[in-house]
Amino acid sequence: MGRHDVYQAIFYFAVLFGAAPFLGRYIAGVFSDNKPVQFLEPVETFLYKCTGIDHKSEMHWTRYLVAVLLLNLWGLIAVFALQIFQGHLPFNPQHLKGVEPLLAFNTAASFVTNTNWQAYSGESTLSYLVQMLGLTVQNFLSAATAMGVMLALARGIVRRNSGALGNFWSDIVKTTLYILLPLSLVFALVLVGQGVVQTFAPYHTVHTLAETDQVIPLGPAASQIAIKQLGTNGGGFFGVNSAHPFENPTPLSNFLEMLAILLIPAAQVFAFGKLINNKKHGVALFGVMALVLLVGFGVAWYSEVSTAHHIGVGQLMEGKEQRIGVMNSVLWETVTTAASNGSVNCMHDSMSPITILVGMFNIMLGEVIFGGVGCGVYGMILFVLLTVFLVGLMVGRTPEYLGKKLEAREIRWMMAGLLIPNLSILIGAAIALTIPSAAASILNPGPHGLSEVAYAFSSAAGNNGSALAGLNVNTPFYNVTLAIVMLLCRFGVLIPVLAIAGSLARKNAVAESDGTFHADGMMFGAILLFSILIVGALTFVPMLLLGPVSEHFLMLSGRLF
Amino acid sequence: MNKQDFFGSIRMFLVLTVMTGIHYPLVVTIAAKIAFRNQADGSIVYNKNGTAVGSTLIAQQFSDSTHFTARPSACSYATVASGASNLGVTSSVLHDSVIARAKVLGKPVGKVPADLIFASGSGLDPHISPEAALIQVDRIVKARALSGENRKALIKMIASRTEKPQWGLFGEARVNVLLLNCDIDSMRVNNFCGRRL
Repeated sequence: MGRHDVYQAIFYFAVLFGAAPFLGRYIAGVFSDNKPVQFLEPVETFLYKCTGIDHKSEMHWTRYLVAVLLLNLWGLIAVFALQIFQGHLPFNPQHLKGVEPLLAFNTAASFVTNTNWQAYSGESTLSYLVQMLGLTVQNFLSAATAMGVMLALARGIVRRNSGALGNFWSDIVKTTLYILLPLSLVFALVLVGQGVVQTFAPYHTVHTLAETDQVIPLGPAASQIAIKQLGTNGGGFFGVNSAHPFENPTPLSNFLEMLAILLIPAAQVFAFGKLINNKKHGVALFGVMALVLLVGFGVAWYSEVSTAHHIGVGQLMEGKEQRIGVMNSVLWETVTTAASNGSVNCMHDSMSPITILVGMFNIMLGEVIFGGVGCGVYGMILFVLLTVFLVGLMVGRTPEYLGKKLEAREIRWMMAGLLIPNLSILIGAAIALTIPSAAASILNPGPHGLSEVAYAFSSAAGNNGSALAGLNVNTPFYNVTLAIVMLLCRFGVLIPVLAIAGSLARKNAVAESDGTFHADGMMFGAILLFSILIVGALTFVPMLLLGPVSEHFLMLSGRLF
Repeated sequence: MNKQDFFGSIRMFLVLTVMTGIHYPLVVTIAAKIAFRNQADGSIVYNKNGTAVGSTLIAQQFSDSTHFTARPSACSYATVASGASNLGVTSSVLHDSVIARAKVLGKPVGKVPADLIFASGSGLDPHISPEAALIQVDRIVKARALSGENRKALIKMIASRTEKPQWGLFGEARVNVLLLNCDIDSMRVNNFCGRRL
């Protein structure tokens, strides 16, 4: 925990929190109804002409949802088919064979849902074509999809006596053209400058100093890595993700990738505040998120350093890279689990038990500590509705959220959206642990083994994608169950949110009175924070105690497994 | 659902696929080849004869005692695909291998730079810490039968190959093992003539 490390951490958060409001204002500008940013209007017009889509027609929540589901269905089919038939398709210089169907299904579900869970290593499994035309495309579209749902929710809050939530096609086209593509283009080039590969050439065989042959894997990696970070996707071009020197070659690339992971998730909170004409609400959400992030990072870092001390080594370097170092590995771990990104620059499985706990808890909270592009905000709003509901119960008033009365219908959808991921994690992990062949996938025995399984289902349910990668997940059981959990939890949250948005949009606003509970300020922030922590704690504390916490204490007493 | 929405969604999916899956990587590739050709192609290192001997970013296995060794690799430096041990801190397997690695270096675990007893995350970490390079000097001096003067030259080499934290702020100090080994191979001393690069 040297001074140098502290400076880096401070610099990181200063840049991130400094840039977020500006990018947030820009994002809000892109989607604002009056005087929107539209310098790419000719491209937009061209796209709508090609597709014959009427981008101005307003969509009711069910029509918006159908559009979301259709786009995701085509994505699912395309990614699956591209993998199965890659052996017969071009841009496959290594002549890789078609991917086994269950793995292909898992990967397709994973990339469509913005999870980017990977039960394979890209360099030995996927052709350049699949990486570009399948995975890179989904990196854009899954992020844009969730951004669209967030925008629909914002409109639902603001609009009165309407049912219209905007146009999904217009939302994803704008998200892609104005936010994701320009940032990715610039970022990809910077990454290449640092050493990330970007080529269509086959793998390069070199003759090493020790007189043996070494195959250098290549590919169009930079273009994918840029969007994998910016779109909170996280799927690596190579198996070891951003620990691979070709994905994350320098300390600077490491810093920029870490920044890219949280940049849009942090900015969109401000954008959301602006779009619902209540900036203070956005600031309050941002405050809660930032607090949980910072505390988690502090705990994780302290644990990583003190564990090394306890074991009697200088630093805990297993699974970490020398150019990146311990602090940047822990910071990345906290950031990637808070955002539903899931890319890794070190192996989480080899981190100290409490560091693992922080990452796992970030995911278990439902990916609302900034969370993913779009879904971070809409997931958080479910907790906000819970908070407002609880406060309403306490004071005996009908709960209101930003001037809209919350009734049984919204509360039911909210509960569905909160419970589906939590139940998926608990039930999924329980099933895996009771089936001997599934439990046999565990690499690290003892309580750490429970952590591996719990982490896997949390990661799938939170659409995060990181893993305690010792668990062997390329088995029929995990490929199928985790794919189902990813799809269930993506749409099990997205559908309730759209339903709530549709229902809110239809309501008229109620006049503010002395008894109105304002969704901003310290009081609101504190109650929101406790609501989140209580839901997370009540659901997961037993699992966390049996997993990482027991491992921590057994480790202190010198126990090995 | 009306027909227009259905077919419109297919057309929109295809158009966006072309834009983000073909145009975007293509533009990045062309720009990368113009601006950063060497990096885009894998930062390949060539020797004097123009033979590619490796990539500055990918570790190689050096098991002979005349070269600096890279960090331990759980995948034995395999590149397709590479990997890590994923062993946890309470793993007895990890515990045993750390002790074994320290033993090879002839020091107790606490006295060895951590990067030399713990396997890297990628399995291909191209760097070691400057301390991890210095600890290997005596072994190399002995294996190459270097004079005292050349020992100093070797230490100088490590210093000149040491990269400080980037911009004085980011990351850790590190030494690129492949480049350092290229340097010592091109050193002509005491009748020991390495292959020149």
